[in-house]
Amino acid sequence: MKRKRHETDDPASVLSERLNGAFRRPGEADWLDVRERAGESRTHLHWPRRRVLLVVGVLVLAAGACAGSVGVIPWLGRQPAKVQSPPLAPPCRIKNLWVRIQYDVSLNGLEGGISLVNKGRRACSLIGRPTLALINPSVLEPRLLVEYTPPMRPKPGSVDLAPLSLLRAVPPHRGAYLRFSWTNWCKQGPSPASLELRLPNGDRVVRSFTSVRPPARGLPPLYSATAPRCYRERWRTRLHYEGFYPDWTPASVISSYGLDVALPLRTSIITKGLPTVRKLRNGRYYTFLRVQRGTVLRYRVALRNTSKLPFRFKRCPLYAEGIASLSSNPPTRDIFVLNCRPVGVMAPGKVVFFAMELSVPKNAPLGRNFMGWSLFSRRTGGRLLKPVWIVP
Amino acid sequence: MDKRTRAIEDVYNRRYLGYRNALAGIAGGYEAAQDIVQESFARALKSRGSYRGDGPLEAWIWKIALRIALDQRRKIAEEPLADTFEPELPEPEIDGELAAALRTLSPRRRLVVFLRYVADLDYAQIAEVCEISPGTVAATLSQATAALSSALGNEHPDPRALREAAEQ
Repeated sequence: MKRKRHETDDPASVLSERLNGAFRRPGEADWLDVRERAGESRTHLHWPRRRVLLVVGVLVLAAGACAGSVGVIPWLGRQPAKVQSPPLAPPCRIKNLWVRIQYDVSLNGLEGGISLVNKGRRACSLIGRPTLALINPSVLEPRLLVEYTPPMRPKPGSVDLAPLSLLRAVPPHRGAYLRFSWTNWCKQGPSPASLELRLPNGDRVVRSFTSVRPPARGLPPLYSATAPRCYRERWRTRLHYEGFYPDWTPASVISSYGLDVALPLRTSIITKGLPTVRKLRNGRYYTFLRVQRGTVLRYRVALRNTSKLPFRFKRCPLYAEGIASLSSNPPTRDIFVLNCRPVGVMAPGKVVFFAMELSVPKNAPLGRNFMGWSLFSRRTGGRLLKPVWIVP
Repeated sequence: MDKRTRAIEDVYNRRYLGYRNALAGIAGGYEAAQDIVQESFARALKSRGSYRGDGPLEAWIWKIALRIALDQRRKIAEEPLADTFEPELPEPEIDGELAAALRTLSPRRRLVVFLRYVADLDYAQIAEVCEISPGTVAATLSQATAALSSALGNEHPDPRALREAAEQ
């Protein structure tokens, strides 16, 4: 009795129980998938199971096709209205900007960003290429490599809710950000402790890292809060940064599509029939897909009402879908309005299926990539990523 | 099937949910975590010849999983800057208070907490995964637990008692 009381009251046990309660979604292991990804053949022992799965899969697909004719809401492909470009304002001056540097330590080194907020009374523009540099570069030469990536633009015809053109006039209290990363710091001795940012108009600002020091001896410990990561002495030190991105979405877009509303919905990408709620919870509804460049991938998305109350859409929300690559290619995505009118009232726990179409670009990166789907909702955790294998 | 493949398969079958659930806290979702687990074990299987056996096999696979998770998160991040730095709980509606408390932890502390309490690794394994000493693991864990307890409104626990309890 005494022992039980001790276990229950102990803070570590309480925390452990609480964490495990928060991460309690069941799931099923799939060793065959691991072997397939590793490029290994399936063993003889697994062949009978595979055959069974094939037969079951065919039956499920057949059932799904039958059910699909009545239970899946069709895809409309309606895009939201394009965000209008504001008239060009005078360039932002550094004295009118609030500047903040944020960074974090990752396995790859330091990653961070610089936020600029217009603290003036009038709109100003942040159009053009900024320049980022480490102060005291002499300690880095000749290994330092500085790389710049222009801001990503949506593909022609697709809609961006926070287009770069917003930077033509940054209103008061709004701003922009740029991301940077700094990797492979192996140099002994003094390190650059500051970053210099030059705006497109030539204005300059310097901000310091706090407590960034090079490793004292050899490799720094993983997750050291005081040093960027050192991989190899002979590799080059790299500072990479991107152009400015606006950090806000116009209020008109937010109100039109309810971007500030938390939807009590859980989302799942479906490629295997029309699963039950139990299968949705167990994650057994997706097969690793092979898709061809330049074709249309047809799949379904399930939305489940996770609240204890009936739910009805007040405004049809937006969603994004696209291909996210792990290579250096930027992800491509399109934004659409969800065809929510036919849904009506969703009872607690009810699942609704939506047909989806994704145009795979002709230049989509080959090999292992991801298809992504996300509902624009204030609630976090809505972005889905599923692996796909893109073939020519 | 060779001995090492069997060992990897054994870890996978025994510990699948531990990997998936802890990675969900790092990757920000169960879907992404599931894929990372599959990919991690696939890579472990492909490179099983490079495992020297000088540390626990589970910790070696964890290192692979963390590299994939963090690399993936960095490369496909599309969120605004503020979100990039925010830790995520996959289902914050289950325990909103805990989700808010976890957000107050630094990435290192959060990682150690997940590895200890969700992935159920011992101190030596966490030390191996994070390339830090077991003493640093203990200190980080006790600081993180104290911070969480404080954020959750519990009494500030004695770090030594926590360590002893966690080691039991």
